Amino acid sequence: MARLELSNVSKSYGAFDAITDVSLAIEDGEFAVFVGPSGCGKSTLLRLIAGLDPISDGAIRIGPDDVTRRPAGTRSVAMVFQSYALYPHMSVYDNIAFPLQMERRSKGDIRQQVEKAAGTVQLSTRLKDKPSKLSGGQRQRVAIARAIVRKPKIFLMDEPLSNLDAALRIEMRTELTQLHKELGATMVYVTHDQLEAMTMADRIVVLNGGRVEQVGKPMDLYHKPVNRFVAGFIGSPPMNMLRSKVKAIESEYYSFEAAGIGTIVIDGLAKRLKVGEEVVLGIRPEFLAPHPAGSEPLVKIGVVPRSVERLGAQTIIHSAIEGQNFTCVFAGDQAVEPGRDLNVYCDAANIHVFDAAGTTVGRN
Amino acid sequence: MALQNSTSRPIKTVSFHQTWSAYAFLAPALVILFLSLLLPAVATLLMSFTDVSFLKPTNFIGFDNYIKLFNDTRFQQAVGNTIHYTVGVTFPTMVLGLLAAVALNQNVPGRIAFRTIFYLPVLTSLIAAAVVWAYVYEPYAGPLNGVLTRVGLPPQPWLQNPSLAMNSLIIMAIWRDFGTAMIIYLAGLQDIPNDLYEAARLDGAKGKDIFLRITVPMLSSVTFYLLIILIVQTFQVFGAIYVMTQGGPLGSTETVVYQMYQTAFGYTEFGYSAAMSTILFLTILVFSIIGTRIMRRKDA
Amino acid sequence: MKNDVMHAMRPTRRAFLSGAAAGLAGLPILMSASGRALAADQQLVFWSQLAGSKKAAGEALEAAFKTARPEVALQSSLYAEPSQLNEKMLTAINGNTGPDLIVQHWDYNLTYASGKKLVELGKALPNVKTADLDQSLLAYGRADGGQYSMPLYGTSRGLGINRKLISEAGLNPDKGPQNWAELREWAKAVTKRPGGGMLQVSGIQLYQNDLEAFELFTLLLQGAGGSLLTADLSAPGFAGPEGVKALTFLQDLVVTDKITDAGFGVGPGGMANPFNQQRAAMLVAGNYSTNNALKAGVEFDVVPFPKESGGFTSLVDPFCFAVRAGAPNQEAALKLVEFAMSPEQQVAFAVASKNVPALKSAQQNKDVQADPYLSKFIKTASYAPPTAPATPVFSRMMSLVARGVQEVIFQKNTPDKALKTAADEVQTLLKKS
Repeated sequence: MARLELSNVSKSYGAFDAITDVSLAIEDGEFAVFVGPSGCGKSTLLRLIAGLDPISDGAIRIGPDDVTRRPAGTRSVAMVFQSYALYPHMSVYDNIAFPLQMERRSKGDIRQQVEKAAGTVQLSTRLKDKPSKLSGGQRQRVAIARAIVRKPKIFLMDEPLSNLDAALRIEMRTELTQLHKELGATMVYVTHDQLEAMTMADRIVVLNGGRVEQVGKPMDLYHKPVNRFVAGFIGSPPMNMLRSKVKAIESEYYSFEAAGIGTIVIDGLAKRLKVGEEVVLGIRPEFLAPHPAGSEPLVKIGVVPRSVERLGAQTIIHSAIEGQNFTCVFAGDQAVEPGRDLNVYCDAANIHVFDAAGTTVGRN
Repeated sequence: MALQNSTSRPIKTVSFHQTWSAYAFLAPALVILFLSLLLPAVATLLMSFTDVSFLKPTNFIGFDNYIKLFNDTRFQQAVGNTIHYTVGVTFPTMVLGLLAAVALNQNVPGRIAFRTIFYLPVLTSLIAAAVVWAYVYEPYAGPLNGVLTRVGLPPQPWLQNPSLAMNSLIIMAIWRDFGTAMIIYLAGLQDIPNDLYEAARLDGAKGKDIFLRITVPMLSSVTFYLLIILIVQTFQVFGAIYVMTQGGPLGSTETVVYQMYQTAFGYTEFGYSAAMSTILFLTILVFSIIGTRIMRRKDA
Repeated sequence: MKNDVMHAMRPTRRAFLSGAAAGLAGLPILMSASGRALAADQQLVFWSQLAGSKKAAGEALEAAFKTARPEVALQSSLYAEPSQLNEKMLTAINGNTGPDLIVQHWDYNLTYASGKKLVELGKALPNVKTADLDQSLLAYGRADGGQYSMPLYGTSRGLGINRKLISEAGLNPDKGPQNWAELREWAKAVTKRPGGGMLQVSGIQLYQNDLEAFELFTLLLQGAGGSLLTADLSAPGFAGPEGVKALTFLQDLVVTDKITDAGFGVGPGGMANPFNQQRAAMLVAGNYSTNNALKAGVEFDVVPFPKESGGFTSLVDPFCFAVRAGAPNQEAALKLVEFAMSPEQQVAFAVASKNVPALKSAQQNKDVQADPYLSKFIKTASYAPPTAPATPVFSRMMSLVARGVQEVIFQKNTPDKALKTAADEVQTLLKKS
């Protein structure tokens, strides 16, 4: 187990910059998740850590060692691939044993280690089978066992659950979290699914366009996104975004003119906005309620529901304001009828304000 | 049950129409296949039980041809030569084809040019190639012996020496065939997911391990396919021998097919030749069946 | 809805299928329409093997015939090799679609004759007097006491020499070796093996294929007083003491005297053969050897092949006409044969092709004799015995004997054993036929 440190890592393919100046540290035993939309560079970054691709600039340290120029296979990292990358011609046993065989370990030692790893992923009875005989989940376990058996300093996982069906994915999520606890290993996990990131990560690294947008604990990202991108990416359904303008500033109180809503007053903002400045107001759907509740100042928004999803535990209302999707999630079952005007309420303290550059305007 | 009954009728009508018209559409192809493949094959089998010469009245002679064949030392020599040729061509062709494919599957400069160069022999006409190789092997003016004498080795009568001639033909056949093996292996290599190589690299495998434990086994179905087609193809070698050695010297390059040709057209013993052909057919059939069995088992 | 569509489509499909059926019915008709079937019945179909150096002569013969016999429509096809013509013939005979007339290497004709597929020409050609023809050449067309094929011309064998190499060795190229001892001395004298190592010039280029190995042995066998077959052609005669003597002589030349390497010169021949490359001083030459040797710049000459203790021997190798039994235009075919056997055509063909004419008077014609090489081959032809190994199993015998000869040259067998093995097999074949 070890700490992973990236310093000013860049990677370009010709003129295309896949990764730009990424610096971050993942602590010993931490479960870090790289998340971002496709093409954001999260898998590339993982491959750079693994040593599968050489980096263009910067340095990578694992524990005390600078591994920047070391080839894959000597960095003491193990990787679980999206496709599992099991050797189809080898039995489960040989798949798991392969990295140990490459280390030229003794047969007895290998057997012992393989059986232990197979036990950990509950595959002890399938050791003689070829991967083609296994289900998707079982193949996934073989891939994990193959990673475990090497006792690597870092585990890398590249979208390992994306080929599984939804139910299995949830089950494996729990198992992986459990496994992480058991092994106490440093894990770097790549996914495009923010839900996976939120549920599994100790810390999330949000990537976009080859750059790190934000690094933080899941709830920090949820409550305190540093910019509009992170705010929109984390959370489901995504945050509602309303274009608006600073209308007036009166000591603590900022008045915003939001198109299609009217005036919204928010207090406690860092004093850096000017009157007339364009901003975006972000409201998470689950912070909207059908009845006024919570502390002042309250914001009232009139919507016309286009469709209503009554799920019992919650009710989701889809509507639009000035052509922008506007979603509300109410707790419990609410008898809302589509097409009929509806007022929804939100605590002004729960509204995020982003300046024209998309950066969050903080609060005092 | 009721549902089944109600639906079975229209389905039957449709399927009758479909099979009928399917056979009708297939008929031209089937008739041509029958005339050009099945009929000659059956005729050959029947001929092998006769003494047909097309010149004299034909008699049914039962298994006489086969009994004669099993005691015919010349045929035994031809079988031995054929096996020598098959083994000698098949394995080196596959090994060289694999090595060339692996080398040219890398991102090396000029790989397209090399692929083309290696594949060119496959495209040349056999007769032209045979003429060129006859010159290469020419004992006194040929370039091969020229090179040998220049480096101080004794020149060899490549095609004139009974113990060298077959190997000389084998070398030419490898030169001609390994391009095919290379192309097939290249296609096979491109089917191996890159993930596997990356996984193996991360698992600490080096070049040799990756080649022997990943590449070679992942190509095993391609290898079996190649093995079977090369065996079947080399069993039937004729052209190069016809052009370059006519089975000589001392029958050392006389293969089963060449002897078949010689027996049929040189000695007008078509019945005997048909028996040889039947034996060859059965041998090739056995190899094909073994090949497909292994392939099927691997796929399962 | 679906049914409607089906109904609407049915007529089209039926039309298509009946079209396909009609096409299928037509297929056999197309397939049976071979060249023969399409040829007009009154055409004389002639398959010839007059290719290569005989091409011009063959064309001239056909042109002359067309002029002389305008009533016959001649349709001729040319085949490059006797074996090609043979393959075509065998399949044609099988399908009863063969030509009316062929010119083919004599041994194939005997095979066809053995199956009664040829017309007996002795009686069918009353105007061709067999007594006027070269008896050696004629012998090759005889089967079962009948004359089944008629020699148009033949080649004969002599000792081809490179005068320059012979003179350089201090020998007189104008007077060839007179017996085996001299032949051996000549061969040893002209062989060049610097330092006893690599062969630079071979004394005699022994053979380049099985047929030449067989012919070389035949010449030596005859030189020792033997013959390939007994007089009635019923048994092999080559494995007796004469054969052993002949093969031992050959063995001595290669193994003891090292006048050549085993397998030397084997190959496709032509301009590439060692004699034409000036890398062999002598060879068994036929009429066909002349052009290439001269083209290669060899100071070529031909002397008679010596017998063991004086005198000369030779063999001839004719190409013969044959008329297919049951051919629709036998009459026209016979006209062409008769025409080709006429003195003028025999002379013309001999001069144009440099081959030995079958007609004795033509052999002595001054135009024919004017050709320096042709006259020499005519001379050597006169040393050929008046008999021939005219048996339908000739090609088998040839390859068996050639195999035995080469086994001895490669020192894989002794002369007596090699010949005995070959003779036993030939005996079996002869009995069967």
